[in-house]
Amino acid sequence: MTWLNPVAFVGLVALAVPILLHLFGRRVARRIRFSSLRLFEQVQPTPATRNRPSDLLLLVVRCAVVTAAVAALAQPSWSGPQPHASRPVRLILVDTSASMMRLTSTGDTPMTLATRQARVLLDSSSRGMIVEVARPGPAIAGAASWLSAQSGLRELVVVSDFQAGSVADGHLAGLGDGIGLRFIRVPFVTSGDTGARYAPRPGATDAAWPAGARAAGAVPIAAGPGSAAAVDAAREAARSLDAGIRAGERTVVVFSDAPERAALAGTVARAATTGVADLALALHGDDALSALARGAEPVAGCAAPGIVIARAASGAPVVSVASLAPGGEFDAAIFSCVDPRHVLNAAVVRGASNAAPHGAGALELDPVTLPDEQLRAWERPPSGVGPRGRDETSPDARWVWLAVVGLILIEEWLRRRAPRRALSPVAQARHDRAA
Amino acid sequence: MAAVLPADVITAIEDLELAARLVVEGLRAGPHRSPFHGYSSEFQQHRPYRAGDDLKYLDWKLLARTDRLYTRQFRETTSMAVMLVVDGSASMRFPEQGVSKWRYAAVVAAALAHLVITQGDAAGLLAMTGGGMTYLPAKGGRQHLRSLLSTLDRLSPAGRWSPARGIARGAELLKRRGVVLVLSDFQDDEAETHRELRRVASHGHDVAMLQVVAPDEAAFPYTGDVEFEDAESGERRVVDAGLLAPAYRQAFSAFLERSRRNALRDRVDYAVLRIDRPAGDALRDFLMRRGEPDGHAGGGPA
Repeated sequence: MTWLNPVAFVGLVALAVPILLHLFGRRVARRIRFSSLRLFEQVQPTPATRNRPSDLLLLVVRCAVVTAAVAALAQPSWSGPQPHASRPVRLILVDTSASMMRLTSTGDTPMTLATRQARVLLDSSSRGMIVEVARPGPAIAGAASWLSAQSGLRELVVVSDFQAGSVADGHLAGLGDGIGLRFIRVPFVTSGDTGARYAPRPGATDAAWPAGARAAGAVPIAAGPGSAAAVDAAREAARSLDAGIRAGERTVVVFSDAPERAALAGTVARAATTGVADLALALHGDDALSALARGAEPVAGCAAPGIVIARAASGAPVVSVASLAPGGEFDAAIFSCVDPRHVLNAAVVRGASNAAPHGAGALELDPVTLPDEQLRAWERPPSGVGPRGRDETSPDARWVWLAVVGLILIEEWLRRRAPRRALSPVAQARHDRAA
Repeated sequence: MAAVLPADVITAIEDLELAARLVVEGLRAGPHRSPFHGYSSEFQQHRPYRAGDDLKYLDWKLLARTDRLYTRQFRETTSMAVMLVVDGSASMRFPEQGVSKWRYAAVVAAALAHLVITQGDAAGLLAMTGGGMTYLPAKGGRQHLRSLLSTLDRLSPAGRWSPARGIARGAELLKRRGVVLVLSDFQDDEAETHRELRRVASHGHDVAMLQVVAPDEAAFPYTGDVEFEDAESGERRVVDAGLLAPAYRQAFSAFLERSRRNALRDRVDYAVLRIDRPAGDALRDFLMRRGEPDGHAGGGPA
């Protein structure tokens, strides 16, 4: 059992009241003028004792009333040592940014999934609220302020796709000690997701693709003279993926051995255009491309200018996309830093083929999401119990109050039955000594 | 004093007048028989000596003076002298509500006085109240009766009394052997009281002990812690009346039984007068018992 308001135990000093009344209280017994007390001496040589069992019982009951009332004020809780461990107070921030509104392959949006998750969390909380914000990071300070004023265990939950920049260290600085933090990720939906998935053969690194594929279409590929076969293979592989080939912006896929690589890299624009951003978003969301990239090794000395789309397991960039300076042959380039024969190039070609214009007004330039490692590092469980709220009372206290009422009724009954005495024990002792 | 003698009491006395006379005269041979044996000591007249007169009654002095033989004649007293000794101590005030023991005793004493005087006997009164003594000699006549009743009516119980002193004084004030009726609750020194009663009875007086009892004294119907105050001494005592009651009732019953046995032993008439019983009934029972062949009641409640 725990006590939500242990300071109330100071009230136990009130136990002195019934004790003092018992010792020093004086109640007048009824007086009767009798003819003679001669026979009293014969049957009772000494006066009746004052501390009769009924008086002591009355004292015990009165002390029990005081004790029970103090215990009720101390707000007992029989839920266990950590009564709020499984039911903290939660504030759930739901990301409502643009990326959360895209449709997934199941027809839901990340927002729908996030809201569903948030409601489940709220149901498992002692109380809380769901707040929808377009920018979760800056909202954390306000959420922390509200949680600081709550009693019991407290937790802040952020439900988002966690695009890079949505939450940063600075946003978490205002989160007070004891308030838990949890991040729940919902799927990040790329703008060009058509549902096609490429699952490479395990260990496949060359461009020997099955034949019979349709023409890869008009995606230009810049590659070295020795990579013609690789380019063909990449086109074939791309076609085998039954990908829709569309004409997009003038985008060139630049293999690592392309002679014009350096020249093209020299024309990379500082800012990415809308189309390039959209392309980057699309490629970044390509799971197959990401998986292949992790298994690849960059060619030594190969630079990946622009927006890094995929990295090797070592962290070295292997695929990047960049806007090219106006006036050139191409508007955008996808730089691949792996061996031209690597199957990653097929995924790059496919991705370039799938790139679709991004809708105006919904552009999010940074397609990178916060890694799980970072989110896990920020997370912490709730600890400590906040200040007791004014409106919070322990539901268990009502039973103790019921016991107080019962004891008061017993005290009233005993008091009516108890005979009154002329002298208190102290006064009677004084009287006896004098006699 | 009509208020002192309710109609029912008067009625009972009137009914008992002859019976009371019979009770008294039952101690003598025939009606109005003197309780004293032989001639009374009261000289009445001389008459000439006749052959056969007892020579011890010959007046030799008169013979010496007159040279004639005369026999002294004594008047045989037929009137009975009754001294009513009434306890007027503060204990007789109990209970303070309703008819007190004093009131009851006064009614009984008045009834007895009325009975005695109307039958031609003499009645006196000795009451001790507040340490003082009120005395009326034993006389007869309506005038004296009225005086006695008014004296009784004027008295108010207070203080303490000494039963031995009262009984002794009452007997002393009877010029001749008579009847001493003591009305009291006898809540005093039992040994001294009975010693004096015994002494007075041994002097030839007909002593009766009429013990006045209140029902609450016998039943002790109190419960809880009660502070009792002694009416005479003022002593206070807080007792658990509920716990005390059984032992007290037993002690009080034993007290009455002792009084009865001691009275019986000392050949003192004894009767208990419960104040919740009509005074007429009590007197009737008492006087009827006195009329029984053994001549002494020595019994229980009247």
